[in-house]
Amino acid sequence: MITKEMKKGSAELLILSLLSARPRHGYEIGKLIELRSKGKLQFRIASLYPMLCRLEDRGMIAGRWVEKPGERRRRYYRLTGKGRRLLQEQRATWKEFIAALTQIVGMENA
Amino acid sequence: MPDWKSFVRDHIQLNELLPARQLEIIEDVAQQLEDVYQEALRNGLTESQAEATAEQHIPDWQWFSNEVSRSQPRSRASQNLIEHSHSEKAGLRAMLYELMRDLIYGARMLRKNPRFTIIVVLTIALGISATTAIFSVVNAVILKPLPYDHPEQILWVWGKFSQGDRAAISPPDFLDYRARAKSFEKFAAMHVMHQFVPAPMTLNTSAGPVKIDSALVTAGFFEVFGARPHAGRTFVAADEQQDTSAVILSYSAWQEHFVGDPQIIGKSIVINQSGYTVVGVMQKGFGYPLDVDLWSPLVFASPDMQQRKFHFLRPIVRVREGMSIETAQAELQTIASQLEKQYPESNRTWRTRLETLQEQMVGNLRRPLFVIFAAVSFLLLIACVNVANLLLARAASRQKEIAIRVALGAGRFRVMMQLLAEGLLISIPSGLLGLLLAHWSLEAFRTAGPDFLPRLQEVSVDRTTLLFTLLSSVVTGILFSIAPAIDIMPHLTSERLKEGKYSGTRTAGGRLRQMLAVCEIALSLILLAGAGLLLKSFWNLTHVDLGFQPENLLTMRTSLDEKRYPTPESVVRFVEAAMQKLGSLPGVDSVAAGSGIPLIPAGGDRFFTIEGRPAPAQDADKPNAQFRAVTKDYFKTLSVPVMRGRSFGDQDHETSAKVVIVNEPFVKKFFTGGDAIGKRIDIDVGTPFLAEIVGIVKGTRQNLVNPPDPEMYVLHKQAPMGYFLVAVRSPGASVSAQTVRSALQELDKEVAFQRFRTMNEVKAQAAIRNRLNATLLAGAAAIALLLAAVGIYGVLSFSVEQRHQEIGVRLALGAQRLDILALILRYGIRLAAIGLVMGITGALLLTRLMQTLLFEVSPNDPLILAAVSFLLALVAIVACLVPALRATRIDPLLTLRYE
Repeated sequence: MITKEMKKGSAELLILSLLSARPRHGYEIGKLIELRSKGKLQFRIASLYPMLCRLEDRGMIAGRWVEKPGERRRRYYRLTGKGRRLLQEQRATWKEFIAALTQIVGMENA
Repeated sequence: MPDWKSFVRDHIQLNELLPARQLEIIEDVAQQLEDVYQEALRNGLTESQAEATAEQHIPDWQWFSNEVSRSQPRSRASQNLIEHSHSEKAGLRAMLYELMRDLIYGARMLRKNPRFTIIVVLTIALGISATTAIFSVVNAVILKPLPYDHPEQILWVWGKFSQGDRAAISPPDFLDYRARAKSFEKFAAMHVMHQFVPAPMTLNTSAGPVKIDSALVTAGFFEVFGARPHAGRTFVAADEQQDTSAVILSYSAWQEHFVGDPQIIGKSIVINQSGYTVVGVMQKGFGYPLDVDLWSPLVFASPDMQQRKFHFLRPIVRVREGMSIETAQAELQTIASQLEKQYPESNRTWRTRLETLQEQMVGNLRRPLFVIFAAVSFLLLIACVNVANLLLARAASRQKEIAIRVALGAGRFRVMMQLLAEGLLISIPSGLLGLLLAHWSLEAFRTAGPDFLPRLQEVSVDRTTLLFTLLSSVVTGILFSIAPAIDIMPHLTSERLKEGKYSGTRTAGGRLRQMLAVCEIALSLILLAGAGLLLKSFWNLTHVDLGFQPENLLTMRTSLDEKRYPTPESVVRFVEAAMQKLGSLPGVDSVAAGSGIPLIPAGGDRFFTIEGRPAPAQDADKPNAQFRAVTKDYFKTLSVPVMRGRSFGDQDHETSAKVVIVNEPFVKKFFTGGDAIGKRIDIDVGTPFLAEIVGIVKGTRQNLVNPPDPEMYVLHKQAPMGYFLVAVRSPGASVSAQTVRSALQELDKEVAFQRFRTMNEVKAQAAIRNRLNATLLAGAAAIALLLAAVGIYGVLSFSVEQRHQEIGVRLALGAQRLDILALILRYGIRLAAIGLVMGITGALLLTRLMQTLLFEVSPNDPLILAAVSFLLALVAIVACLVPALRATRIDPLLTLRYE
């Protein structure tokens, strides 16, 4: 069971990771998290949107309005250089954290 | 389908955020809710279920609003924090960010309505281009320092008797001033004859003889200007002592006539068939007076140069650094007093005055240029008012958009900043376009500009002009942004605006629009009055009685070289031969020469005494009048009526009794109540010249503005002069300049005749300044009239649109269409009337400043004021008629059904 705290702690990394491939709009980000986690991770707009705002304000991501033919205009978010560096740092941190956690949990299981 | 935007707007609370950001968040969140809703529908939920699913995404709006707000440091609260923090960089960045966003938003708004944008940009661009062009002229002619070394130190020295006009200085006086004065670094002079009209000469070159202009100057002349020779030397004291035949070439003459010959110094060149030695070539770009080709030294050895009573030198001096003009002036005054004691006969009451070279060159142009500049500034102001009116109309139509922004918490400052950004987005490109138009028009102006304008070639778009244009653009943008901002201000916090009830008609907005239209009419009337006065002046000037007939007259001038025509007899022979030669040309009715002819200033005045009256001991107390030495047929050729007595005849010649003809102003001034015919006057021409007055002619004008001066005419055979003008009268001015030139060449090809002009051209040239002033102001006034018409038309159109419903109801209740027409016309005419009254008041106050530009017309001429008021009223009524007629065509049924 993934708790609220776990989600909160990883949300930034999730958003940055998804945007590292290409720019995406808010709903798409939420939907992808849900799909790729096979429904284990779900973010409602109420929690995901303020995070997008915070990341944008910190200069990690940048929003831009894009109007595609036949669609209403949407705000697409892309990763900035600063965001890319943060993503690398966070990936490394999470790697270490998961490795440490696995080691501890593994040792306890042994 | 739910309107998610409205849903979010109704629930979210982002009052602390900037309006632009609020709108973005609302749209973004609404879009995401829409996506959730659509997906739910695709998954087979009903509309209400899908709606509920979406709504569940944000269960606590208060919490959500706080979270979103907290993530935005650019809220108003944090804005204050930024402003008060020590991190100026962050504050500046935030400000720039907001400005950028405002500009982007503004650009989007302007792109939405390209026709509106183009009209506004063109209106302002025209205003700015006119203002920039005139500013460039003012800058080049008046504001920019002269292109000499420390030009503020260069001064002109004027002399004058206590009762007389400004005059030149006599050579002996000049030498005394130069020897005694300590306040000056350099003290030089030039021959007064050459200060405005350089002496024509013929220079022999490898390509044949060419006509050049020369000036006579003393040693130190070039040093006054800080000008250095490109090669060789300038004049020294030795050149003044005796005739060394030294000349200095201008750089352009050296290039043009001697192909920049590096060996030119020391070479002998032939001018008027006499040999001269080139001692120097002046630095590139230097040319004073005007753009002469050659300078010769003034030699003080000749008898003429020993006379203290002949004033024909124009001292031009450089005051010592740090020395004030007042101190230098006081020193000259002291020397003048010493000379007065030493030479009371010639110097009694003689005084000197210093004037900066800049003042001398452009002093009389300052007022007309500033008047024209003020006129085009008025025009720009009118254009601003017009644009402000357009923006006001648009502000009213943008009520919804502004209402949303206000409802979302945008403050007054924010909305004003947005409007200002839009204003600048219009005015800056307009300024750039205006600059381009000004650049083109100035290029044309430099090519075809008026001769009388000094430094014409310096007129260009330079750094100062660029700065001026930028400033004008910014100020203009602010000016026309203020009106919509003021208009919207009272509504920014009102509930009515949020409800979309702001309309800008019966509100401050409506009043503001009316006020602007009234201002436009008032400003236009002031401009029209100014233009009207100048046009009337120009008309008066060109229809003034000249005292002679200028039609069918060809004029030219020459000066005989003393080396070729050294004696009075030789001068007389040449002049007589020239008269005979020209008189025998087919088609020539009559021909004459004179040391001066009307409208062409030349010659000068002479003292005289009247026989039988006590002669004053001092020259300064003697009467003086303009002196003209003329040929026999002078009055016939110029068609100057002989009022009494006779003209010159065959009985008058070199050895006959000396005779003189005077004009009516002369008689009026010196023979009040008596008869002048038969009286004798002794004219001071260096030798005794007691002549009998044999005729009285009508006074002729020496310029268009001043009435004829007292003049005395002597026969040139009895007082020959080496410098003279020729007038040839032929029916329909059929004799060409070329024919005359060829005929004169046959006499002596070394005598250079110049400035072939018809008298009508001379007359037109004399009035060109007034013509230019009148044309420019009339042009500005015509554009102002058009803009005022557009302005009042716009206000009335808008009013009819806003009162559409009221008019429909009136018609439904039985009002006649004529009543409606009268209703709208009354409204328009009332506005026009207020504007006219304000304009007349302004015109009465401001046209006084034009007093010096007017000729025989009062600055408060009632006829002009009445005429321009009538014209403006007429234009205003026509502008009112169109919307008024449209109002009469309103269908009451449609209006009521719509309601």
